Amino acid sequence: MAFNSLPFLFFFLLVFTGYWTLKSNRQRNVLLVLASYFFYGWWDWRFLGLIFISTLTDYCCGLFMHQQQSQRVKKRALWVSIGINIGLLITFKYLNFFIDSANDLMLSLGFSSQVNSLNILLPIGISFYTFQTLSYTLDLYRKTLKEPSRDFLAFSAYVCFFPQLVAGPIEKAQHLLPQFRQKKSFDRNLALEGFNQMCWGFLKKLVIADNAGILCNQLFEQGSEQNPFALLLAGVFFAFQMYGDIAGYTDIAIGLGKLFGFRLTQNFNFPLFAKNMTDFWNRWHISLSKWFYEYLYFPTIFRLRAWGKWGVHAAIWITFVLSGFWHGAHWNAVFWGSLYAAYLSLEFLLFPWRSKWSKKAPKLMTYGGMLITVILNLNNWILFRSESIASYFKHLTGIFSNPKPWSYPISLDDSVIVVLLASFFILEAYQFFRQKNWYQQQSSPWIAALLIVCIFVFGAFENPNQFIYFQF
Amino acid sequence: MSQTSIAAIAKIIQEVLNHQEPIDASSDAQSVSGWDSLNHMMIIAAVEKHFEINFSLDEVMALENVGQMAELVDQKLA
Repeated sequence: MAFNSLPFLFFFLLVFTGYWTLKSNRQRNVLLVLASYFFYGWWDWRFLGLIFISTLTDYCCGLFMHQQQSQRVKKRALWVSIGINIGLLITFKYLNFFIDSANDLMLSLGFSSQVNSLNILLPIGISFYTFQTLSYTLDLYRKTLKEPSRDFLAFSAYVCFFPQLVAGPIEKAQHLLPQFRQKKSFDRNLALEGFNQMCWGFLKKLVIADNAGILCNQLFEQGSEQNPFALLLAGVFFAFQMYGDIAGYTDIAIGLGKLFGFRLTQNFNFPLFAKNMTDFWNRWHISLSKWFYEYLYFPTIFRLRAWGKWGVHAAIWITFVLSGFWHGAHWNAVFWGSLYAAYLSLEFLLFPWRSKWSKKAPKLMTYGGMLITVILNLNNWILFRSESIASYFKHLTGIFSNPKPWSYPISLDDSVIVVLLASFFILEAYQFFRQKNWYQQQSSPWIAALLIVCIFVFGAFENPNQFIYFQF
Repeated sequence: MSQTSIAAIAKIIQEVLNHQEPIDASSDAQSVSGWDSLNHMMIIAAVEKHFEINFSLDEVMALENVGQMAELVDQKLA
């Protein structure tokens, strides 16, 4: 059930009323688990079994690990959890990719026999909840989480909590799990803050992302024969679509959490104004970046520290190639991750030079860095939106070598969208440079009312889009 | 934690990050320019080499500032 659908509105009103009517914490957790399973099962009830398997696996592995004294036995339990969770991911997300890639390889080697692809649907959000449950078991193993959950109900609610189930933020057990054990009373200010944040989220999704998506689709459908400015704008519109989509989803998720008395992790911190690529990954989908940092990058770089600078490069490449693969079971995603690895490797190589110039010309380095980071991200977003690596290169070649004169490709009617996107960008820049957090400082029913009017006037309701991150 | 360890670690950090910013026990990745996830392990490896000690992954992950690093170094040397 998508947040931007009418059934969700009825679902939310019912669950919200029920939640605050119930008195005991246990009853509330029962309601949240049932509601979250209903929310997820709305897409396809068969996916429910996967969440249940993931929940049961990590609940049992956590308890078992805690009872054991032997480190070897604990490690075995950890591998059971990793095996089952990654096994689910591989089976449902990557198996067909492996089969197709093997078939292509066999064909190129001259073998004609082919293995048939399997008829498997990709369960929405599987990469998110498997990563969340894995972090629970990994933290128990590493003792950064001291005690396992003995309350299966609270643990189930932690795994399937519907606001953040399908696209994050990926929550650590240390932060979210205790909140299911706390008795909450309705906090009007927190609820108003949450409602405002939800309104901002819907604005980002329906007004920014979905409208930008209309222009982006128009330009990408016309192919790489257009004039260079149109090709460049296609990438810019996709950047707005991507950012509005996932940042909007996150705002709705965090806002929903607040309406139920929960505080979820901040997931975006003005990534469009990052001053370098390392900074960008500290600002974009923060909970996912932290997951990769903590469970993949850091252990890898630690083991390779004897290699010196080569160890840093190796850890960057391993992390970002796998992160790319996490984003999609196709070669575009792998190439996308490799490009980020290349940027970060280069950033690391240039560190002495950057350090020297940061002292000599700090403003130039900051704003120049912001511009370069945006351009590099734009390049990656074009790749992400392209149907294949070949069409990405055609698009890029078109920008730099198409002889057609630059001309504005958007009709006068659609230029309203361009004005909306530009206004949104200015608003983001204002908040970033003034260091304002509007959800807390500007929470009032009037702001919410104004946002709702904006959503109804400018929202792209005739062209509703699924959230992009659901496919991961 | 000993002031000698703090001073030695501060010097190592300044060498790896190629600057002379003042560094004390409360300094961390947020407050020292250039101390990011790319350079962090270069600092750890240089500290290990200088004091001829080995950290474990859990120990390194738990470190929050220079003071804690100096404390860990002192424990290893004791």
